[in-house]
Amino acid sequence: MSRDIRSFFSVQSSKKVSQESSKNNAKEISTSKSKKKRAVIESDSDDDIFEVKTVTKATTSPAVDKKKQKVEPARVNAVDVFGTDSVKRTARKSNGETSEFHNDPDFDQVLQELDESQWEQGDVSSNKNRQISSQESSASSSQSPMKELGPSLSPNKRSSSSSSSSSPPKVHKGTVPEYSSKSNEKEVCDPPKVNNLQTAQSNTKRLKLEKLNHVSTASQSREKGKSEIGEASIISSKKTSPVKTTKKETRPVIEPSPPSYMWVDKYKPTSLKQIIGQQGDKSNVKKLLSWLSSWHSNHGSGANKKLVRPSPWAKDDSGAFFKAALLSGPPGVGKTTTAHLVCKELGMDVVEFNASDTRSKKLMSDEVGELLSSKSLLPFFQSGGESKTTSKHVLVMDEVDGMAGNEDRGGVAELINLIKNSKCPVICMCNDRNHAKIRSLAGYCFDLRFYKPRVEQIRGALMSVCFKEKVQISPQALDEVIAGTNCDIRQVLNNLSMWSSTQKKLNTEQVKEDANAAKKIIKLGPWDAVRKVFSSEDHKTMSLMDKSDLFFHDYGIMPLFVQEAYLTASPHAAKKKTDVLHHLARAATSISYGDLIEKTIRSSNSWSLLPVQSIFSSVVPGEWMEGHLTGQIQFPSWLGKNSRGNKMSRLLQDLQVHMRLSISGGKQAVNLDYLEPIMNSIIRPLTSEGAQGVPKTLEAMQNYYVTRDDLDSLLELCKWPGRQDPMAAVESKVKAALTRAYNKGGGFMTPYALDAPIKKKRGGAHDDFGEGGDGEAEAEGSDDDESDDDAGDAMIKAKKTDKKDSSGPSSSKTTVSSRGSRGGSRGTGATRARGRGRGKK
Amino acid sequence: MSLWVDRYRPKSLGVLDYHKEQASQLKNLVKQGDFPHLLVYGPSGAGKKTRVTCLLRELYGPSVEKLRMESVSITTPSGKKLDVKTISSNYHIEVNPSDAGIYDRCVVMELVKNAAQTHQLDPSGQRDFKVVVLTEVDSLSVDAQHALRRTMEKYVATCRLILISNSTSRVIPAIRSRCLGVRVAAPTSDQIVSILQMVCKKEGLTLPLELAKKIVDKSERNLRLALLMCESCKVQETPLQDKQEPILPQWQVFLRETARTIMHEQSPKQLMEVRGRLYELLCHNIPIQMIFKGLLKELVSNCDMRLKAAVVEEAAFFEHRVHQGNKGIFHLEAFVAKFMCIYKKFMEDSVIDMF
Repeated sequence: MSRDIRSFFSVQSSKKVSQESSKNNAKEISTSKSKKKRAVIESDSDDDIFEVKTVTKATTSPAVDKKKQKVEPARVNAVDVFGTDSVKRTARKSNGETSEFHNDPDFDQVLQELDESQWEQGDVSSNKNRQISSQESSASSSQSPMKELGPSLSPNKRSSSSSSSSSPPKVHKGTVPEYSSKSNEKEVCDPPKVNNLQTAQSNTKRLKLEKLNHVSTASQSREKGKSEIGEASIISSKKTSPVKTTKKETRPVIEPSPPSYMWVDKYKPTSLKQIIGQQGDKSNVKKLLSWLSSWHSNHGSGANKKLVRPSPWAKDDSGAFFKAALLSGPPGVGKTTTAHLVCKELGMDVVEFNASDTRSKKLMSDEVGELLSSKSLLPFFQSGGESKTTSKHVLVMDEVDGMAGNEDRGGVAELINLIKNSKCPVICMCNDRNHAKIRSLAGYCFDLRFYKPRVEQIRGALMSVCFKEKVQISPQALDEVIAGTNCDIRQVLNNLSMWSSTQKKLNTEQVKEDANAAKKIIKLGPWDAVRKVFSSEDHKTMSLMDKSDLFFHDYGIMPLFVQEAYLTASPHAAKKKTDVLHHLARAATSISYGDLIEKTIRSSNSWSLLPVQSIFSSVVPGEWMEGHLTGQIQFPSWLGKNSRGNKMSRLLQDLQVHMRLSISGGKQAVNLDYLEPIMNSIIRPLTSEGAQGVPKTLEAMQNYYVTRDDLDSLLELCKWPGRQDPMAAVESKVKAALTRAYNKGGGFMTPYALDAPIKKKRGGAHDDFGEGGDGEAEAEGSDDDESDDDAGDAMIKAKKTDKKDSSGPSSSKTTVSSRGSRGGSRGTGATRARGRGRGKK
Repeated sequence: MSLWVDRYRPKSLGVLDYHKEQASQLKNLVKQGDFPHLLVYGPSGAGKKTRVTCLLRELYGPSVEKLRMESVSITTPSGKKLDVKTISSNYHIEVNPSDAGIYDRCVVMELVKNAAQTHQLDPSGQRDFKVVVLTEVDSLSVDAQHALRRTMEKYVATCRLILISNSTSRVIPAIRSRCLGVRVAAPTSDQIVSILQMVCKKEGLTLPLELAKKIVDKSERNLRLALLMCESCKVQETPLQDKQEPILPQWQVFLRETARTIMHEQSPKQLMEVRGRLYELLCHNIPIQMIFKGLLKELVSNCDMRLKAAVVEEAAFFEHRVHQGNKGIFHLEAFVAKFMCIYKKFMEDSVIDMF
């Protein structure tokens, strides 16, 4: 491009630009173009532009300038808003101080830009021009058609035409119209196309404009105001000429790849082979490709293959069974790209829904169904009218795990439904495959998991990008950047483009620093964190702070994880067995100290002590046991044991309260002394005498007011690992006899109300006893305490007998009683009544 | 047919088997009419509650034995509803505030206040005060104890408190100074032997002295445990034999096995196994102090003389930490690790010395 400009200047250097009357229009036009122009300049190196020294500047007569100001004061104001410089400049110009500009290379640029852009965009703004100019003079109005043709004119022609009647621009910028000879040629042969190209360029250049703003040279700051105005004028001109703009806009959109300036888009893989880390034969791309290509033969109309659901552990499954594919993996590894490219490869149309679309149940069924049945118009445009439409669609549901909240309620369920009935392949994408929402979906999908590519895989591709962008970066520095983003290709590109925007040469040190600063903060799960705590490999690169930070991934549970895992760590520093124990003891002591700190933190809300805890609970044990973990990291058993302990404590308390009247001693005494003798006195008659022992057992239970439920908790409390369950020695026949006797005798009277709010679990061992009538007995026992129950129970019993009389079958009777019993043991008289009532229905 | 321990429990101060002097003192106390708040303390199985029951009978007569169980619901300031089981007669109410866990303060405030604020309904009752018996005062939170202080003074006209605890160390001094301390020491071995023999006689059995001593030894002067053991011996083999070994409670057996596991091998893997066993003990609500005690006893008895002091020191160190910390297992495990370290090192050193 730079060469073009130079050549152009050489052509133009001798030219004088004529002044003309329609300054307002011209100014507008020229300013509108400055932006484009600047973009041109930016893409060239500065040197190129400085070489151009022969540019001539047109001077404007002060009178004309004044006139302009009079005619359009608003415009001047606007300029003022954007930058006083430009105003100043107009003022200066009106004084005829042209020589100053002459020597100013920056200004040269400005002039060039303004001039070129004016020409380039003549057609765009011409409508506007026409309107304004019509108010002013006939001369200016005659100019506008000229401008519309402008681009097609050669510079020479144009200069002549401008000198004759209309043409150039704003007084102070009235320089040589610059045109590259190359573009001129094009323009001559195919004017409308060039127009399009130019507008497309102008769009992209507008993007660059922003970047340019960083570079603060005097000329650019001066220019700023103008360019802004220019932009405004473009917009207004578009408004005034809707027909034209629409025509223009549709074309560039269809144009396959308008150059984008985000590297991520610029260097997006355009073919399957370019996808990083997906080249292998067993890669996800290949799998998806084969799955998609055989989809219609597998599931399409007329295909009635018998497809067998593959086992979830089958390795090389083609996924033929599934009607949908689920691509899962961390962000930035190319899931979306893969899906789109595969579809493109197979010539299928993509219908995409992502998180930005509402994907509620209703919408999914309505819209998606409709979309899939319709034909795409895109090919009509693309192939220039050739009617070649594909009937094959692919529904791409991106970011499925983003389906959430009220908006997308039922979305996943509907998606599953849609997959079941789909006439076209569906590709779903998500980050976390194990998310609760996705799990149901995963069962219907061909599972393709994307893993993070390795650093080496990314490095190659990125080196080529850097080369293309003329960014100098050492491979080591690049590795740092890649590692810093945790192998997120997208982020690496973004980071690089940001850093290289100011400096093309990236030195390793700087990049390292930046990479660290931009390091993705990765939240580790406790499992990963614990592994790092004890890993000597990781310790090499970690500072004390890093080690301490591991604790803060989840300070609530990390102490437990460390405590759980430190025994499995094998310290590398310890050579002898005694050394290992020594390290172990030191680690254990530190953990125990960490617990003291935790207690202090929690009891006095001294959260500022957390870092101290992190040292004692995580760093110090990690240091002592530095090495590797020999076993799998388990979930902290403390939590489970603690809740089991609490449950036992509850059972014990109930038992103690029930037995309280016949024993002395509190809960602890019951636990330590009483449990076994009481259990033995209850169970022994059963084991020694069998069914004959039942009365004795019942008596023992009665003496201590131990109910059936209590007996179960008693048994549980007496259970020790390695000890035989005492109940196991009792024959099931005897157990049944006991239950029968217990129920028949109506249980016994208890001094306490059985409808206590404490619910006891029924399950496990005592199922052998059956439950029939159980609750009835208890009810009678408790009735003594609660007179309210009496009425209810009496009524129930009466009803029950009625029922028995009327509807004979014995089976129904048993259900009645058993249900009643459950209700009875559970709740108050009222609930019991309800329970039985239900039983009868 | 209830267990011996319950069947032969003395019912009045006059028939108590030991600490007879103290029993007569209590009797006098009742007679004088100026009945103070009591803090009854002593080890488990010494007969504290038995003594208190006897005292109540002395105060109010046999009708105090007509007990009923009630469930009192209490609303905490945070709106949570709690049910606390109480045992009461017309004259007294017995409650274990620690049943309510961290809300024991509410129990003390509400329940004790309510009981104390109402006067005795029955004019025929000998006393114009009611008695509130609070058990397991050791585990009462400091907040709850502070809540008690004022109540004790304010309602002294209508209500007396009898606090039962294992030790006074966890009772705040303010409470201790407001109560008359009654220490119920564990019966001596001879007293237990005589009680066991008396019970056996009543049951129509003869208890060999040898066995009785063994039982006393194993029960660690816990009369309740001794009686229960004695009964299980009877079940095991009647008539009772000299050679019989009394059966220990399972948790003790388990604890001993754990200690043996530690002695058997010292390695991280073994520590892992020990951890599982310790968890099991803790799950069964065995107090961690008991675990420390049991382990230490077993470990020290197997240690070389030179090691004993060091081991005891470590045990004391970590047992103290248990009180300061939250998660007992951490400290227990640290103690075991430390012991393993010391022991292993000692053993290796002594092996080297030999050659």
